[in-house]
Amino acid sequence: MLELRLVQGSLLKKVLEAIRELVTDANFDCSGTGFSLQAMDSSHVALVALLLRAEGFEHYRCDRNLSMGMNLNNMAKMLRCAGNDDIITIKADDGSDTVTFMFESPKQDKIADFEMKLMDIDSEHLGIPDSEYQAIVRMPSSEFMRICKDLSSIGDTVVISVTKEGVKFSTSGEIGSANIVCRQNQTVDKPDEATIIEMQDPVSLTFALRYMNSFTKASTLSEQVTISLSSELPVVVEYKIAEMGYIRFYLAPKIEEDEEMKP
Amino acid sequence: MAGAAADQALLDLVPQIHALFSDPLRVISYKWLSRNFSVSSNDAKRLLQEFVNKNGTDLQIIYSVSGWLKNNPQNYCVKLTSGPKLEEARQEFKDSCSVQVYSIQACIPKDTAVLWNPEFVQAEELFNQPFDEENCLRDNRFCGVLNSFVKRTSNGKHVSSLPPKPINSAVPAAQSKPSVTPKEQSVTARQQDLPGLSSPKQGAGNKPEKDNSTVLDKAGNAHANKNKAQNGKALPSNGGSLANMWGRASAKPKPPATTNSTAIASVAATADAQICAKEEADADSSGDEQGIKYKRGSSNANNRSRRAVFDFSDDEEDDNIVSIASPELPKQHAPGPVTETAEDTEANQKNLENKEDIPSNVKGCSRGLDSEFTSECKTKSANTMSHSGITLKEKSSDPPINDNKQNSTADPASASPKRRKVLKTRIDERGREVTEVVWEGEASAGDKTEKNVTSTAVSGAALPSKPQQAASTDKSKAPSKTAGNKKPDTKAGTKQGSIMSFFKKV
Repeated sequence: MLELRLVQGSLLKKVLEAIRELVTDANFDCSGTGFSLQAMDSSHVALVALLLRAEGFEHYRCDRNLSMGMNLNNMAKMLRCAGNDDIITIKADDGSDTVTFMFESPKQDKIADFEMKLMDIDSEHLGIPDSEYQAIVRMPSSEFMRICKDLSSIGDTVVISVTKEGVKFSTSGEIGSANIVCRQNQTVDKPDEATIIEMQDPVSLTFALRYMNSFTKASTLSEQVTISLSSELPVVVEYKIAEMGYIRFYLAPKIEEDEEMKP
Repeated sequence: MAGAAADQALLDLVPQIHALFSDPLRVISYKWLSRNFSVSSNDAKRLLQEFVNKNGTDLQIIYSVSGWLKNNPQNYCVKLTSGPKLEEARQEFKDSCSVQVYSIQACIPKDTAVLWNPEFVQAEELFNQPFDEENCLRDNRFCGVLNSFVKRTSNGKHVSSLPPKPINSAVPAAQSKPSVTPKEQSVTARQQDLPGLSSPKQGAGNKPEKDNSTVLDKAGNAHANKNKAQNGKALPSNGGSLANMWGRASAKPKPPATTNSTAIASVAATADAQICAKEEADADSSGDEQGIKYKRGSSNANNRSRRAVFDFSDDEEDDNIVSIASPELPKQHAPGPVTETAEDTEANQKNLENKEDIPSNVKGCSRGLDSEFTSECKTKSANTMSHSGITLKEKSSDPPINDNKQNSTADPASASPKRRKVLKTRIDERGREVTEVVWEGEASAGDKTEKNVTSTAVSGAALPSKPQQAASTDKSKAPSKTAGNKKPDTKAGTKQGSIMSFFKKV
């Protein structure tokens, strides 16, 4: 028996909109600690990890660990039927092959039940170690979204370089090239607009903009985005979900083919 | 007629009819019965008659009375009438009229459309069944009408269709109109014309038969037998759905008409009578045939008539319907160009459609024909008037047609089935699974096989395949040390790494 009541129903809607482009089918794992998801995109280049902690739900009941395979587009379709102010309750019975989304209007004068069929999904669960990153950039999510969008009109890849001066996003394409530098900027009165760079070592990595753009769909979830870079690791683009958890996107960098020659 | 065994099988159905009859709102018509239990129309009629004989007192019967009218000897009329008014209705006919049980019900419905509705619903259901499903409407095995151009196999598959040429020759004989209402000018005119078209010999031979009320039954049986022998399947489901659409189209006009028809007395005089009569005719095995033949004749007779067919479909707002029903054919041969092939296929289609007639289907056709052909018909021959009612006999003309058909059956049938959409899946050189939609089969009329290639790349198209990724894992670590210092701007030299190379599976 599973029953998760989320007062901020819009949050779940946003989560789905954020990941459904990247991943079509995924297993939602429910345990005593929370509601989580880990899935790779079809090409195994990016990975999304979602956590909604049990404490974030108004009511959280999960008798036993449960893994529910869902088609995210279908789930998004159903969640789109919920109003932004609606309270969403996710319900599933043990051994059932369906999950029910219940939408309650804030005034409690309308209750909708949507039952969705579950699916069996073979998914590879990856262990993600907690790592030290060489550079961590925190910046407004809207700013990051804008940068990725702008650069993708010029080129296919973005080079993210973090130095003492700031973080530089650069690309080049047939029509030319572009560089955008964001400097550290800590505005006291508006913490949401701050850009904070914590750097151990300078780092520069190349990524496919296509994926970056898809990550920025989660900008609605959080004012700030955290980009963690390490030369040996995939970049982590993390959007915190207030009081609930996070959604993290991992993206493997592009590797220079002739690199081994250089050292 | 059916053998003793068959009769016994029929009699076994009587209890079931009893059970059905217990529903007071149910109208059990022979048509419905025929389809429901997969017996021929004539058997169904006899079954109803049996039932009436046994339980005649506590049920209401609708009879269909058909024959030549006294007051208008040139018209062959088919009427539905309730039991009490049967005698009255018979008065209008000449001595030899046929009386058959059309339907039985606990009470006569006020809205006469109810008489017809269950059949229509049933027909719709049957036609909506999956294409590969066999049912009696698909192969039209009980229609009692023989289309000699359609060859039927024992398993109900559609073997062949007719070649255009045979059709042409057959046409004159084929044209006939079974049901005539005195008032409907257009109809009568058409009828008159049609007989004229048919060869005089046939007309003469046929007439005497018709006058006998009993003849109808025999003819019907004969037809049914023929059909069984051929075991034909009228056509691929396409035609079925098309017919279905027609049925719907004609459904609207019908209800008002039918309501009138219930009142027996008024029937003959009104347009409703025509509808009623048509329905009846359609019910009669011979009636079906007539409708079909008539249409076929018109479509095939010559270029002129062919063109008329096109018009017919256009006028009847059937453009959409045609494309829906048989999407492949219309596309391949656009109706617009009057090329031979296009015409042929069109003609074939028409014929096929005809076979699968639903009750309303015939009506729809005839309506279309009315508007289109009346003028033509009138001009054709005034002499034929006397023959107008006779059309039923055309069956005799069928056998010759059959020969033609059998030879030619292959090509028309294939016109639609020739090309099929086939899903082909293969693994391409890059290890991706590629699924292609291919038109398979001989290209008919110079059709090229089109390929729609939908590649479902297991690994993203631009993305490196797994072997590459594995190779890259080693590299990725090496570059990482130096990465901080470098500015790898060039896209060209880069490869996309895989997330799998960074995290281990749990």
